[in-house]
Amino acid sequence: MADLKILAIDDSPTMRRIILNTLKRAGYTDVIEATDGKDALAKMKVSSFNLVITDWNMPEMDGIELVTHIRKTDDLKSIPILMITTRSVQDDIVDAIKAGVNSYIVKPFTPDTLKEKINEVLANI
Amino acid sequence: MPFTDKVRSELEKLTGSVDSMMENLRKMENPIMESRERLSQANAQLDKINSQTEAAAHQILDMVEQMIDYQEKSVSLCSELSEFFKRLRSKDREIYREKLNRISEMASASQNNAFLIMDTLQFQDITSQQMNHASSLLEDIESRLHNLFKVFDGKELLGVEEPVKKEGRAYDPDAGFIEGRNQSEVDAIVTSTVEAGITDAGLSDRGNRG
Repeated sequence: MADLKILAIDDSPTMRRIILNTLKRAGYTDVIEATDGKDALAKMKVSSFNLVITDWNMPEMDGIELVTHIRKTDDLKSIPILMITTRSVQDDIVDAIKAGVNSYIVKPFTPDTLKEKINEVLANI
Repeated sequence: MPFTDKVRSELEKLTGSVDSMMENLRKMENPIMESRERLSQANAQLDKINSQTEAAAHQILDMVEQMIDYQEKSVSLCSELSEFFKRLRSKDREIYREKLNRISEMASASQNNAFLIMDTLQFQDITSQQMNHASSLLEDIESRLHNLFKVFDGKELLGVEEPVKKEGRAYDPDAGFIEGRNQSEVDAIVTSTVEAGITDAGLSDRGNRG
């Protein structure tokens, strides 16, 4: 658990802080933040990550564009991706899965849900 | 009346109507300008609320993080004291241990509440998205009013700036704190989608098969 390096992407500073705290509580302390898809890709160029947690609605590059880019990039395509978003319309959820998201969480989320989804995603690697 | 006179008469009436309509539209100039200014003010106000609630959320988070830290330290101190009490007479030891356990339980309960406060602060992201949606709608109306005003006047508006849409507004127009689909419904959709195998990326390219 301690060795897991996570990239958490959300344009809301409040959400990033909440996600970081929730992850810390769950025992994941090696977490890097990014403000949108573009920032995330820049960080993925210089570091490798075991898990990506991303929001959907973000400026510059949104979550779906980011996931699509990751899945098309040889060095990155095997990274598990968990999406945390307010979007709960069925078509959106299906679109996210089609783009390559491994797990999907709706905001507001509980720490237990985040832990459960991380465990599920990692168990399937 | 000859045909050309009839046409001239109708055209004169039409011109009169257009003039009258233009006059009425010109009278609307000021209310439209005022509305535009108010829209702009409302928009600025929404942005202000947004940044202030975010600043407030961070202040709360600062305090909650500090509370969690104090509570962790309290629990740790209780644990240290518990070791110390082992050296006391057995009668006193039990009394102190009981009180110590109580303090430790209260610190843990308080810590859980602090975590709950932190989780609840997710509302700030959701209301921020709702306000960005409202701002975007106001910007749109402001822009349409500006264009309408240009049509009335038939020229560029002197001294009136073209409305500028704020860049970087990213929001879910349907974002809600309590109205959204619950997680178990989302899980069911995810499961059925994955089972149906409808992925553009392809299951083998999704990092795992989950």
